[in-house]
Amino acid sequence: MASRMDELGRWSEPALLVLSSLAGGDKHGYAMVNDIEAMSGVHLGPGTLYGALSRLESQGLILALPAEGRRRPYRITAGGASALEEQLTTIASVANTGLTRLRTQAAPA
Amino acid sequence: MTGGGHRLATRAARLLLGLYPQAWRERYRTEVVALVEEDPPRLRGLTTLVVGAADAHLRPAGNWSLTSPRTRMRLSLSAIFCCWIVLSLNGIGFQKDTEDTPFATAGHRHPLLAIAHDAVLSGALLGALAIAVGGLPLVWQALRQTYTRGDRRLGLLLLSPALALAAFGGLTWLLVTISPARHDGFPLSFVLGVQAPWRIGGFLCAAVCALAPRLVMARMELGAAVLRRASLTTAALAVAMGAVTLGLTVYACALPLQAASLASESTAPIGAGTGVMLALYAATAWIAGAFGLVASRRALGAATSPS
Repeated sequence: MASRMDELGRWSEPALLVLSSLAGGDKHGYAMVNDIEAMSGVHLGPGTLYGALSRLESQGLILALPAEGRRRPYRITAGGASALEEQLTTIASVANTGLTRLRTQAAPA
Repeated sequence: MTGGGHRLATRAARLLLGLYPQAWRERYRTEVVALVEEDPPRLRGLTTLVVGAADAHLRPAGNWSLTSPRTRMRLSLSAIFCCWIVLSLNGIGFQKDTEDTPFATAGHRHPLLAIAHDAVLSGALLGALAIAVGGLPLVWQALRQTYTRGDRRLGLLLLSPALALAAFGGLTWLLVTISPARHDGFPLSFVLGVQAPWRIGGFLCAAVCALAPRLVMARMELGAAVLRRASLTTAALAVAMGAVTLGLTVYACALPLQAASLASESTAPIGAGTGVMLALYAATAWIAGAFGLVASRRALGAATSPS
């Protein structure tokens, strides 16, 4: 499943943020931008957000729900949740290993 | 950002959305406009729209899979009509350039030339039939909507090819009337004063004729049944495009190859200018034919997919 995230290329980071945002519930574009900014400090531009959304949608990792006026909410699919979990597990493993090594080096001999 | 800055940013974002492919715009434009109205982008946000548009053009298959079969049929049909019109104008130019006696003589002496010429004419006939079966119901529906909705712009778009052809006819008549007497060759004054305006007029007329179906289909409401029928006829149109393209190519290649034997005749039609024109017709036919075949495949795929 990780390969499906790899296929997103330069959009993989925004896609990860979008999937993480949608893991907390269905959201439309504006709600996602605000949630991602609160979560990561990254403000996604409209082109970046919709570039990631179109790729995730065409890969079946998210689902477009019926439009509410001009807004359209999105929902993470089972495949998207699985891809997100796998990607976050890898990131967590890298983060844990890196932090452990930093602490070991910083500890007095 | 001030109120004026908000409006400017929103307007710039709307303009930049025009850079995206049509299929993408049909799927996401409304949402993105709603987003930029709520969260007006700064310069960096606007640049993401430029980068996103470039990415969407480089990855058309992704956009395509997200559009409905009806939209896919509509976009494919407008593309194939545009290609057919380009190919038709090419064919008319070919027919006009090869209608003189020397070409008929060459055709009698070399069956390959006659076969290639007939292939172009047969393809044109088949294509015209396919357009009649698939395209006329669309035109009829557009006419009805012009009347029932009182949509003058749709009516004007429908009339635009006829108006462009009339204007081109008028330009031709004017140029023929005012052009100086020419006894031999093509002096520069004749080329600049008569041929160049005529060719520019022809190009503009062709552009209007090629774009009109796309604009009409984007404005009107299209029923699924009429779209599906028109999409299915693109199979015949694809065969017709193949015949015209191959016929033009064979003719453009065979005529120079026969130049040596034709040179012995006093009515030898081949010259450098003829060879260049035929090569241009063949090259344009390959481009229009290739795009047309892709559009036909997409239209057929959308017409046969479950909606």
